[in-house]
Amino acid sequence: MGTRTVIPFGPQHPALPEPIHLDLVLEDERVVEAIPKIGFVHRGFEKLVEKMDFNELVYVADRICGICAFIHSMAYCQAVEAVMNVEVPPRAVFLRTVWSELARLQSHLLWLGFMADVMGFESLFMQSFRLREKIVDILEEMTGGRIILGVCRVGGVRRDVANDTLAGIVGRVKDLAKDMRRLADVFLQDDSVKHRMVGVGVLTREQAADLGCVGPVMRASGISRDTRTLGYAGYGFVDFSPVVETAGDSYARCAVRIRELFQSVGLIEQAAGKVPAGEVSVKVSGYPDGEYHSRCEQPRGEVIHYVKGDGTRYLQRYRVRTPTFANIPALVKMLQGCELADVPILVLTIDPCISCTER
Amino acid sequence: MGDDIKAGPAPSDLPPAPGTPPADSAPHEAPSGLPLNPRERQELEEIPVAALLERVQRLRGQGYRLVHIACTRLVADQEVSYCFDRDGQSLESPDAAALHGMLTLRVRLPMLNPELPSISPFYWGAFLYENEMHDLFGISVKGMALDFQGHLYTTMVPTPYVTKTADHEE
Repeated sequence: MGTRTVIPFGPQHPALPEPIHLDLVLEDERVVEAIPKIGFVHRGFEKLVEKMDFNELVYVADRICGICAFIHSMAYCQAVEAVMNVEVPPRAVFLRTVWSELARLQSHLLWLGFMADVMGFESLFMQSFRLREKIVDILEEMTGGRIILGVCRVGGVRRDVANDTLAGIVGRVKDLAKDMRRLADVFLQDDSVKHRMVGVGVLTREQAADLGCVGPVMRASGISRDTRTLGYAGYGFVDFSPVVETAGDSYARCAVRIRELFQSVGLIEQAAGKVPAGEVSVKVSGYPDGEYHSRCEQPRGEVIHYVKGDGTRYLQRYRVRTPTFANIPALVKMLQGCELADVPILVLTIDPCISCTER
Repeated sequence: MGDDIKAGPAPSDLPPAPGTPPADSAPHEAPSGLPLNPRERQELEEIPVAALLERVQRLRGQGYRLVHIACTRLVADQEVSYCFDRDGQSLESPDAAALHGMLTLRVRLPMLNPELPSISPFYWGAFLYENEMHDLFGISVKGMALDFQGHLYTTMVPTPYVTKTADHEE
């Protein structure tokens, strides 16, 4: 056994500009144990239920994350709508589906860029961000917001999108898919990329199940689970089956996200084609009395928004379980036995969103 | 099995909401057979703290997944909800694919010196939830797989979720 050394990794480090700390116990260059530390910037959003009513909390949910904001607000609204028996108009339901998939596209492209950056592949990083920018532009045209869209409300959505605009957006996203194909080919076929990811940080199917993983981390280990199969929003009305890989390594996690890019393009086309005529919101009266665990599939995996109301305008409890929170135990296991140089790659392969986790 | 969580009737039982287009303009067919924007079936089972470990162990043996753990401050006490599901299977019939559901085990704890046993022997990843319970709600959890000794979260005041903001000086 070599000499054991403890190396502090983070909270400031090159993998991502968000504060997560790891105490890495090394034998020579090999990690034998990793102890995570979060909570540097815990914001206590959930405690705002004491000051903000259930309608105002939509704005809070929209600001939990600076990447996957829309799905947070949708999950929160779905929870309150379930408690209050609010039926959202079908047009709003399908618009939410379209925005969810656009949010997934920009998030996965952001992740691909970060991964290229960590590997030192700067041109690939720039190509990923160039494509992401076009998705963000589309979101801005549709909603007025680029990341924090502010379009969800309890009872529907705040903005409508004209049908011909939707058709044009579908065409632009399909055109972007051709550029994504070229990007995907580099990620999946380039030797230098494969060298950094193939066989690195293997998480077996059994480990992924035991550790309660969610999202692409879990699906890359052969588990076919995706919250969209619950059929929330309009997902029950589109052809959908989870993207699954079986190798369980960093390359498989990358491959799942890349395949999900193209899946999202297809889902946007399907959902946009099903948007019916009608209102985009309904008037909501009364206060929430009851509880519901709403779950949606974020780009990083299953997110839970739990609300409990007691019949007043202020919720009794609002709790958010983010996908990164569920994937941290898997990261701890993944790091055991890896090389020190692979730590940034492995941290990134769970697509950590500390902003969400520090809600 | 326990009570259903109070979340209203299923969408199909509800009258059409104002502004909803008539049914004949419904958006095509659902390949999944699900209604538009369906609600999940969620069941609640209140149990005493003494029965928690045995019940969790049984769920683990039945293939349930720990979805999350949530604490809620009530007026005189607090409750802890352990939420589980079984992937793609209904809670009652393991053969009924694609009918999801969530099972919540709930225990009640006093506001003063609340204590719980750790479920990390059965669900290793529970250590994060349990450390969170300790840091934000002051619940002492015995036997955690990884104990941060109150240093998972950095907070301005200890156990901030137990005391309402109005009780503090703002």
